Amino acid sequence: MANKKYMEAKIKMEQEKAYEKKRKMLRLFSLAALMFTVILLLFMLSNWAGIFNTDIEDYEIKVSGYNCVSAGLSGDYTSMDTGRFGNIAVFNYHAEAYITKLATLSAAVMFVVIVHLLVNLFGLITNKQGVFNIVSIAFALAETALFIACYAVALSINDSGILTTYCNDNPACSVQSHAILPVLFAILSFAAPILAMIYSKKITPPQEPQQEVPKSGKRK
Amino acid sequence: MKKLLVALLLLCVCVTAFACGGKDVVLTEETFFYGMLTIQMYPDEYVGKKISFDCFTYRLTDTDGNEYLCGVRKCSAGYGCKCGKDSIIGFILEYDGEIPEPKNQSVDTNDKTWIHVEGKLATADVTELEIFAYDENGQIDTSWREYVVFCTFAVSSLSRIEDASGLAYYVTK
Repeated sequence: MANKKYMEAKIKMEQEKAYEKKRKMLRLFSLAALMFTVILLLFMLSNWAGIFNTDIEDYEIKVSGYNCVSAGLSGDYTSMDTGRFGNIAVFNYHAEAYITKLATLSAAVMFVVIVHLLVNLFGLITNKQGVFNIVSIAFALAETALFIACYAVALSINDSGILTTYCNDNPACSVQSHAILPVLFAILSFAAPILAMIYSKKITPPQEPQQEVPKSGKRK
Repeated sequence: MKKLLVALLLLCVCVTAFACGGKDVVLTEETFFYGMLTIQMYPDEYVGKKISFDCFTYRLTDTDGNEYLCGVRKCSAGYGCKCGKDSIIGFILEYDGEIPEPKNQSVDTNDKTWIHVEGKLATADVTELEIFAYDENGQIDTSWREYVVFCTFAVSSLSRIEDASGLAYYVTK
């Protein structure tokens, strides 16, 4: 009897150990999802839209994602402060409709990424991956859509007429964007919450050993 | 974790704080070209703001023979452009006192009449001037016309710069 109890306790302990190990693994997925959102925020420092001149192999004017967010939040598209706004004033002068759209989308995507980051953070702190994974997938979807929109709008500046008015139709000049990088990364970032969701379904907490019900004696 | 949350909040505050800008405009060596370009594009935004900068004096004559005394720097034809086409960027100066006469105007040298000026845009209206271009030898070519756009600057104070060694007559982005 004592041996049976010992075996049961040992099995239970091993099950708990295995469960905890799997939970730790699940937390790694959450941590990865968190890291993905941080990296997405960092990607917004990259060149969001710029006029690249192949003759000089450099950008003549450019704006980063954060420059667009600054303009989108403040409504200031005419500032000469290149640190905050990049060359947004030039874009606004030659392609106003396009750059305001890009700035609005950039502000929206940054807001979504920050909320997503907080969701991932709370998921990690509270260790309740189930709900947070579904929310995280929804945010990843929204981010991907918004980043794709940013990239598309940035490239559409090619059709705004800026290459004629600003670059005198110099064939060496074209509008380019690195916003494709967060698009690819946002698609990749889907993997973490999806894998976490699949993995979490496989994890079940160790079951309590069933109590032996004493056999009731038949009444005579 | 609290630290992470605080860092995130700070990030949001920083981005929002970027919206707040000063009123006075000081054009430095780094900001001269883009600052001038921005003022020319959006003069309405800068009328009434105190602006200060260093420049050299330049007497601009349009194709009708009208003369304008300006404070300028030499620059490439477009911001960020290194296409070899040069131009000048600056203001037509309005001043009650005496504006020093230009020196070595058409020569590529830093030995110019340098001044430091403070003042405001007189008006948001820009003046487009038709001018004769300089040829490769630095001579005026009357067969080649160019257009330059200038704002008019009401100078409130002007001082001569004796040592212009730290100032570039040719500015890029």
